[in-house]
Amino acid sequence: MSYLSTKRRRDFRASRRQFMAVYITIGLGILLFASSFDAYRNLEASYSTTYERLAFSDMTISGVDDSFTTTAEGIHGVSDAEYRRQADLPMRVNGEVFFGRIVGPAGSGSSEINRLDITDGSALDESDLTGSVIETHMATEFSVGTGDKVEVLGTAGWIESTALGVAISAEYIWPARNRQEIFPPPETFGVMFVDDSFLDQVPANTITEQVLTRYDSSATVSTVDEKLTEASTSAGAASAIPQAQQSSNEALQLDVQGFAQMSVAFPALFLLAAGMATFILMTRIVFSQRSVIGTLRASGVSRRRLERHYLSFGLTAAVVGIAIGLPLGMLAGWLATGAYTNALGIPDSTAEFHLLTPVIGIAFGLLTGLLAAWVPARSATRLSPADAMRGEVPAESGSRSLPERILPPLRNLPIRWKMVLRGIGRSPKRTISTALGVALAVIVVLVSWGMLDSIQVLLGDQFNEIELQDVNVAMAAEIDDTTVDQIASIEGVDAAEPMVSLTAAVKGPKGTYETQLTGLQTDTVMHGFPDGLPTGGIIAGEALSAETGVEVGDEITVELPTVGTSIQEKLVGFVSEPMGTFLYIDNTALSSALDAGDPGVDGSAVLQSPVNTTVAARFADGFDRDAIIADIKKTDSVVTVIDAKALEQLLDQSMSFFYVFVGIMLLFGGAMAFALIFNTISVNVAERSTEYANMRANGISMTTLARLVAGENMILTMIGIPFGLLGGFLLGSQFMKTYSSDQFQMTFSVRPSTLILCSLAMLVVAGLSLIPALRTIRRLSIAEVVRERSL
Amino acid sequence: MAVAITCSDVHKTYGEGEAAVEALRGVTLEIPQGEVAVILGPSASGKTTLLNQIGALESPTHGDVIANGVSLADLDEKQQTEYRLNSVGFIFQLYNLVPTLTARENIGLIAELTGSDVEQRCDTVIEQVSLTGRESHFPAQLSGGEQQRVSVARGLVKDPPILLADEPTGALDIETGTQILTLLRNLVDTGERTVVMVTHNPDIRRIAHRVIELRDGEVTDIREQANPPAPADLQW
Repeated sequence: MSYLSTKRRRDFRASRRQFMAVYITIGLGILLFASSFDAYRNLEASYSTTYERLAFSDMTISGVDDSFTTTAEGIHGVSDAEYRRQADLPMRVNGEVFFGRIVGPAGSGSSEINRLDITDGSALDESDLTGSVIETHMATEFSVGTGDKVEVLGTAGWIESTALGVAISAEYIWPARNRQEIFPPPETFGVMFVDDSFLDQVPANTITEQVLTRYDSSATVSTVDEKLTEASTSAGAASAIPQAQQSSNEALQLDVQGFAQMSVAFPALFLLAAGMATFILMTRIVFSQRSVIGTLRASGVSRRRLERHYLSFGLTAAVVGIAIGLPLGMLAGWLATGAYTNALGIPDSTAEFHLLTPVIGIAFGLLTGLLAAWVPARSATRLSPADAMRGEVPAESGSRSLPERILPPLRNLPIRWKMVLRGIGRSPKRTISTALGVALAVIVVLVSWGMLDSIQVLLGDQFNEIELQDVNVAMAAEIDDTTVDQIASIEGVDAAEPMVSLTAAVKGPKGTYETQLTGLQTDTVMHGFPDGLPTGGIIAGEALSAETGVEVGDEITVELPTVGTSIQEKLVGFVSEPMGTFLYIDNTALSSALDAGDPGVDGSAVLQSPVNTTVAARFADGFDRDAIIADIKKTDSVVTVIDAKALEQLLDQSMSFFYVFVGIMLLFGGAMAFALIFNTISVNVAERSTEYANMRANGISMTTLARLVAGENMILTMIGIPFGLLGGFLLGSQFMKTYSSDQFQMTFSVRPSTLILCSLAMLVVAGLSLIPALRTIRRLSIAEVVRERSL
Repeated sequence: MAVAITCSDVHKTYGEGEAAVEALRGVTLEIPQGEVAVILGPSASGKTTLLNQIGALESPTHGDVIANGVSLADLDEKQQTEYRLNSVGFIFQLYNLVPTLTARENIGLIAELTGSDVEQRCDTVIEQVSLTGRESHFPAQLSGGEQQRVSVARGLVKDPPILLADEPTGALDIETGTQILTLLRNLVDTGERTVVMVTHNPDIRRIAHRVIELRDGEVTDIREQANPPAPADLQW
């Protein structure tokens, strides 16, 4: 080992605490990268394996009949097309009624597309046409197993089916009812697979006909998507949903996207901070070793060798950081994949070794260390040996601080306060690095915390400002004034009104969009509209414009496949709602529009049909919700009561994941800030030890000195915080934009309390990072230090 | 004349065991009030160590120092700080000024800690050390001699009865060094202050009322000098 290596080893030992801070920051960056990148790749692989094994439909076209299979199979790139039917209607299990879905097999006999993964019992059997296979989420939620009975509300009343088995379906890995209802509360939705003949016994207007397609593996997905969409539009299809937009898959992809984004953004912030911590430390080391550098140069050590020597500090720090972060990150990625796929019941959990993860991790880690050490290493080689050997430090020029220059009255501050202000400007690069480091840490914390806030604000808006009903009551009888009054008269019910919900498709110049048309009273108290519900025309979620190209003032055609007709209405406005992109119309206007369309359709009959309409009810304050719901259930003709607040409660309960996430990010962000502030203060103290010792010699107490040091670093932290808050807000907003779609309109909302807590957390971290530095100052040997010129 | 400083059998040992270095070995001396005392000796003779004991920068391993009526041997850190604040002023070879504060602010920083009328006291010492007109300059804009004057003024602004100077002319040329010595001498001649100065320059001994010679941590000679010449008369 060369003597330079020995020197480096001892230099590391001398600054071990500062280098430890660098290792940890690089390690955290690499850990975050490796865990999120691996989780992202593993999740993609897991979904891909499941989708391939179960032949998940590449595009699902609704509202077309069996003949469309021939059209689809004629399109270049489509390898298979199969027809099936499905129906949404009340189901009953162990006395519990909910709106479920029965799905027939694709094609004749066993499905080749959207195959089921039977996890218990057996598949559908042609010898038992009343048998069914229960989708795994429904089986779990309603405790239905093989051999249990499930009832479906058919044309002639409840039809009994025996569960032959339980299965996982690629379509329902995330059990979304449709693209507008991504999060149906588990007790309000379930899917059951039945023989096609079973669907003959249910009302025709509950049935949706579909054609499922699979593409050649060599086909260009976007091209085939485009051609099939064109063909389905020509065939009058209500919708053509490509796999990427299929409700379950799209919901799952949000998480995959989240991991993908996290694998870039957060590690980049950490590595940047690590780079700055390394830069601060290396600059100090090179500065303090001026005379050594001069001596080495004078002794014949080449500039290149010297540069390599100091670069090797950054490289070594990076290697140690990588050695800590990479294995831990890959382990965390593996654990996260397992926990995630297990929680969601993804049958194929693929936790593979991705060579790209260590390759990228090592490359970025090394790059961080090398770049951070490069400038100080270069400055070492540029030192004049003669000057450097003398060990003379260039005179540090003093000047008034910026605040004093801007606000002259500040010049009258006590001198120790001025000293604090001027201390900040003594090493501008270091000040900027530290303030930026604090800002980066604030960004990490604020983005994480802001996501939690945003979701809570979103839920608050959705359930306190928009969806105002407590329950939707499904009935077996026609919904008219009498039935509505019947519900309204129940003790504890404050208001009740009919709410129509029809599957709908809007056609516009850019394409067709499948959604739901909601019919309400003009003076509805069940749904919040900024300017009320107009008496004529349709208002829509604002994403409809981007999806279809329709604009306010356009006359739009709304296909209503379950009614078997379409209506023409003027689009009179858009509403900004966080969840879903729905259409809204006044019930009277809807009835008239239906009457004006197909002569065979009676508008008022459609609106009164319990298949299309429920009674929405709001409860008065101070009553027991469960008791009111129980009373409603006892009412004649009531099939089931859907708790509209269940989703809010469900999502509220699932917030615990976010609390953990925010906690981890707070810890990581805090560690990052600590590392940077600690390094800055350590360097400052080392550089100013003579001044401090001299002040102590002149009778300045340790308490006063601690206040001076703390004041300077707290101000530095406070300079970084607003930039961090701004940066965090911008980055968070960008994150949310990428999450936003027609299903979610996410805006980054941060509560004032979060801003305050983030800032306070940083100040606490800054305070903690002061402790070791103050201990160093306390331990300074005044007698020794005042005799030496500190380098 | 009253005694300003008394050292009684002062020992100071650094390190332990085989690595122990005995820097002072039983130093006993007295320095009367209103004198310039010069501590002379070759390198590693214990000059600065002795000054540090008198200034309460360190505590003796054995023995005691009584300065300005305060016994320093058993002071805790807080008491040492208080002693340094009220009883002694330091002047170092390397000035040790805060580079971000002007000359006046460097002086005022200490003045603020020791009572009111800060500005008036600053004005007085700035005039005393002949820095008038240069007080708003930052250290980097001052010459070595001017910086040392700031250092002296900083030591003086607390109005301490004892001034401790460690090689105050070590980094200065002869002319500037002479000005600083004159200044220190005037402080004694015009008041009741005691100045203890460490130097390795034997020529400087001539301006002292008392010369203490150290070798290997022991006092080898103490000489009183009546009517020492003014620093300006020195040839060095």
